[in-house]
Amino acid sequence: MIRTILQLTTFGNEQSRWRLAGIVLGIAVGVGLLLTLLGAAQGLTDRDQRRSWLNVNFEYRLDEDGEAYTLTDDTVMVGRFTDYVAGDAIERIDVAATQTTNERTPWGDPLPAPGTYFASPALIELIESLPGEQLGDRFGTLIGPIPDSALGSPDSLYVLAGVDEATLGQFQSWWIQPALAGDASGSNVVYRIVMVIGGIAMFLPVLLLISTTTQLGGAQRAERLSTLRLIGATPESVTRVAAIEMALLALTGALLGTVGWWLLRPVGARFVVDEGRFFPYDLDVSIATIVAIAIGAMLTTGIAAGVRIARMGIGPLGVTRERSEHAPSPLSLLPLLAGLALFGGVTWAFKTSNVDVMLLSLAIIGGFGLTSLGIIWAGPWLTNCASRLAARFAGSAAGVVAASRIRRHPEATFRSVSGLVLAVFTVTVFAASASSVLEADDPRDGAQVFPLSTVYAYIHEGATEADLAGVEREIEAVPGVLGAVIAMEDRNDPGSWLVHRDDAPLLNVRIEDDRAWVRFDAYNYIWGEPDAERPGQPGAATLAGDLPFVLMVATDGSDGVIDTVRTRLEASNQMASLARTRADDIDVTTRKFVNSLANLAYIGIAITILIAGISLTVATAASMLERKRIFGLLRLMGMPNGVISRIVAFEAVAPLVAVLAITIGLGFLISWMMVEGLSYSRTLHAPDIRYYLAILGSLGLAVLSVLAVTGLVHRNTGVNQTRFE
Amino acid sequence: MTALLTRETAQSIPADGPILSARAVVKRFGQTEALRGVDLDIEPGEVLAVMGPSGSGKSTLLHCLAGVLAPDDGSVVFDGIEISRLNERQRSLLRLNRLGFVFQFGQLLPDLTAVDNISVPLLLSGVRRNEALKRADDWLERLGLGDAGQKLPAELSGGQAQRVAVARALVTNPTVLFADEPTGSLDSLAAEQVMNALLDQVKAAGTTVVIITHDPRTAAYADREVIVRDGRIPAGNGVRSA
Ligand SMILES: Nc1ncnc2c1ncn2[C@@H]1O[C@H](COP(=O)(O)OP(=O)(O)OP(=O)(O)O)[C@@H](O)[C@H]1O
Ligand SMILES: [Mg+2]
Repeated sequence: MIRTILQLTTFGNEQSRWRLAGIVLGIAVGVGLLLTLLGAAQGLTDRDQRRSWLNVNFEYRLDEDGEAYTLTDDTVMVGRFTDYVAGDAIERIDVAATQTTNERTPWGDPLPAPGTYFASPALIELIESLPGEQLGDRFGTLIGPIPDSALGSPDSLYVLAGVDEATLGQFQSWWIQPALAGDASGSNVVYRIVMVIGGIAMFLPVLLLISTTTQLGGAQRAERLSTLRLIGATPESVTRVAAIEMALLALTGALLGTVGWWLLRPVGARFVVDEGRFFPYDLDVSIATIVAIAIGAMLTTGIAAGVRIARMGIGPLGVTRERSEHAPSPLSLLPLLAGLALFGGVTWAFKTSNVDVMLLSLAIIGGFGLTSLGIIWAGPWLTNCASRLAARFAGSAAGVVAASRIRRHPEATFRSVSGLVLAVFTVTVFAASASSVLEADDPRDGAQVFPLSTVYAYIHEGATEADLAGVEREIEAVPGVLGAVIAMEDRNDPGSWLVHRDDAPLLNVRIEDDRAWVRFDAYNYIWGEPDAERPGQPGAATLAGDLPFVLMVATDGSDGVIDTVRTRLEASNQMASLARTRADDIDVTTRKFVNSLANLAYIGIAITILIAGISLTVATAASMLERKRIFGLLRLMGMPNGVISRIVAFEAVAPLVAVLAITIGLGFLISWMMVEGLSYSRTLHAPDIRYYLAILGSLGLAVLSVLAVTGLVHRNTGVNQTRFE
Repeated sequence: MTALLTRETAQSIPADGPILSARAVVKRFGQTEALRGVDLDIEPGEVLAVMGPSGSGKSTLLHCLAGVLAPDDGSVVFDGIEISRLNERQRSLLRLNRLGFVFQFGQLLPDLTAVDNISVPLLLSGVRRNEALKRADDWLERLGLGDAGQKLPAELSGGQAQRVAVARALVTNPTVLFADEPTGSLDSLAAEQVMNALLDQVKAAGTTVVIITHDPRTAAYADREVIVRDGRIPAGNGVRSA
C-alpha cells in the first residue's frame, strides 16, 4: 500500500522529481555544513591541546608551599616570548636546565642544549629562506623539527631554544617550573563564538531552502493524496507515507552531504583559521557522529513532514483546512526586541561589573541567535506593513496583484527573502565589528611619536658601559641603521625613559627649549614634556646615578634591516628583553587574527548568500508557478508580458526593501553595542570594501533570481502552454 | 491598423457584415486534426451558442476566433482585420481592448478582492486606480454583487465567482465576449442567474457573444446555435449565404 502511494505521489511527474532533487540537495548542503563546522570545532580543540605546552604559566612558578622552585634536575627554567620576523610573530620558549636534567621536551626529545633549538617546520623553512643574521642566528644551531603533535597548525611558527641559566637570568621575565608543559588555553574561544554564530547564520538559510523545496507543488501533492484518501487510504497511512518519504530523502541527502564533505575536506583544510591552516586530519569527524547526524536528519525531517501532512488534514475531498495565513501581529516583534535587550543587558553588565568570559560568550551567542530568529519572526509583520503602504499607492495592475499577494501571504513572501535578509544581517554585524579592529590599530608615524622603524630592547642591569659600546658599534655597522641611542632610567622614577637632546632628531623628538633631556611616555608611545626637574646640561651624555635602560636603534624601516638588528640585539646577550618595534606592540597577531577571521567569515557569507539566492529563486518560482494557470488566463485576456516581470520583481523586492534597511540598521546597532560596550578602546568604523561587495552581491542575486523566475513564468504561461476551459 | 485594436474605435463597427468571420479554418495538434475547415460568420450584437460533443473542437475554434491560437490554414477576420497578420503584441492588445473572456472556473486572482479582480483589465489598459475601482464597483452593482466587493474569490459562491468573472470580462466594453462553458460548474439556479446577468448587460451594450455550452437551457438564451462535430460545422449552419 505504502509503496503504491509513494510511487504515485513521490516519483509521479517531472515537477515532483525537481522537488526531490531540491530537498536532497538542501539536506546534503546542510549535513555537509554541519560536518564541516563540527570538524572545525573538533579541530580547534585538538589544536589547542597540541599547543598547550606553549602556555607555560606563572602559576607553575610556585610549589605547594608557595615557594619558588629552584633549578634542579627535575625542573626547567623558562622564558616565554613572542619574537618577530618580517611582520610575523614567532611563539618562542627559551629553556635552561641543568646538565644532568631529567626533563624532556613535550614530545619526548632531550631538552635543547644552550645554543641549539627545535623549530616548527614552517619556521625552519622561513629560517632557511632568510640570511642567518636576520633570523637563524637568534637561536643558534637547529637540532630538528618540532613534531606535528606539538603544533597548532602546519603554518605554526614555534621555536624552543636552549639557553644557559645565566643568560636567561638576565631577562626581565623568566621562571622555574616542574616541567615544560602548560594548559590548553581555550585561546581560540573567539573563533568558537564566531563559528557558532556563523553556523547559525549559514544554517538558517539551508533550513529555509529545505522547507521551501518541501512545499514545492504542495497543492498538486495535496490533491493526489486526497485522491488516494478517496480511493481508500487511511489518514495514518498518508501521514506515514509523507514521513517515510521525507526520511528516505533525508537519508539520501545525508549520504550525499557526507560524501561531498569528505571529498571537499582537503579544500577546507586550506583555509587559514587562527594561527594557520588545519592538518587534514584535524577536520575529521567520527563515524558515530556522522551516523548520529544522518539519523537526526531523518528523524527531524520525517517527523516534521508527517506532522505537517497530518495538520493539513487531507480528506477524501481535498484539504479540509483552508491554508490562509493569519495577519501577523506587532507582537511578533517581541523576540527581536528580546534579542536586542539581551545584547543591551550584556553590554551594560560588562561595563558595570566583572562578567565571566564563558558567560559573556554564551550571552553573545544567545543574543545573536535570538536577534536572528527575531528578524525572521518579525519579517512577515514588517512585510505586511510595507505591502499595505504599497497597496495604497499601487496604481498599476502589477502593483495591485503583487501587493495583494503579499498581504494575503506575508509569511510565505517573507520566507522567500529571509535567507538573504539573514545573510545581510550577519555580514553587517561582522563587517562592522571587524572594522573596529582593522581600522583602530592601524599604526601611524608622526611628530613626537616614537618611530615605527625604531627597534628597541631593554638593557640588562649588569651590562657594562664597555659592553654597551661594543653592541652599539656592532649595530651601527649594519647597513640601513641610522644610529643607536641609549635611553636612561630615571633613578627617581624607575621605569621611565629619558633621552638626551643630541639623540632627539633620530627619534622624531623636538625639544623647543634648551633642556637636555626629554621623557618618554612608554604607554602612549609619545615623547612627553622635556624633563622639567633636570637642569639643561648640554654636552653631558649620561647623568650620574641614572642607569642605561633601553637601547633604541633607528633604522630605514626595511624588514631585513629591522630583523638583522633584532638578531644582533638578541644575540648580544646584553639585553633583558627581546627586541621589539612599535608595530609589534600594536600586535600584528590581533590584526592577523581579525584578518583571517574576516576571510573565513566572508567565505561563509558568500556561501550563505548563494544558498539564500537559490532559496529565493526556488520560492519565488514556486509561488509564481502556483498561479501559473491564472497568469496564463490573464495573458490570454491580453495582459502584456512586462506585467509578469513586474509582479515577480515587486513580490521579491518589496519584502527585501521592507526588511533589509531595518536589518542593516540592527546589524550596525549590535556591532556598536559589542564594540563600544565590550571593548575599552575601540570604536566603530566604516566596514571595508568586502562588505559592500557582499551587499551588492545579495542584491545582484535577487535581481538574477527575479530575471530567472520571470523567464520561467513566461515560458510556463504562454497561451500555448495553458489549457483554458 | 493599430487604431482598430484600441477601445476608442469600438464604435466603428461596419453597419452590416459579420464582426467576426472564419473561413476554412484548420487546426492540428500533432496527429489530431481538431478543426477541419470551419466556416463561420458572427453578426454584430448576436448571441451565438456553440454546441457539440466533447472533444469536437469547440474550445479550439473559440481560441482561433479570439487570436489565442493561430490556425494552420484558413483565415479569421475580426472587424476587418486579418488576425493572423497581427504579431503577438498586437493580438494581446486586441484581446485586452476588444475582446472579453469567461471560462468555466478558477479565473480570478485568488489574492485579490472581487472588486480588485474586476479592475485588473482596466489597470492593464492604463486606467487610473481610483477610476478603475469606481467602474468596477459599478459593475458589481449591475451584476447584483453589491455586497461581495471586498470578498476574496475563495469566499464567493460558484455563481458569484462566475458573475465576477463576467463583470471582469465586460468592464472594458469589449466588442465580442467569448465564454467557454461559463455555467458548466454551476447548478441550474446559479447558472440561470449568471446567464441572466450576462445577457442583460450584453443586450444593453450591443456586445457580440460567443458562448460554448453543453446545456440546452443555456443555449436557449442564444439568438443562434451552431453545432461542431469532428472539427466541422455542418454546411449552411455557420455561414448564412452558403
Ligand atoms: N493543446 C492541445 N494539444 C493537443 N491536443 C489538443 C489540444 N487542445 C485540444 N486538443 C485536441 O483537439 C480536440 C478538440 O479539443 P477541444 O478542447 O477543442 O474540444 P471541446 O469541443 O472543447 O471539448 P469539451 O467539450 O470537452 O471541452 C480534442 O481531440 C483534443 O484532444
Ligand atoms: Mg472545451
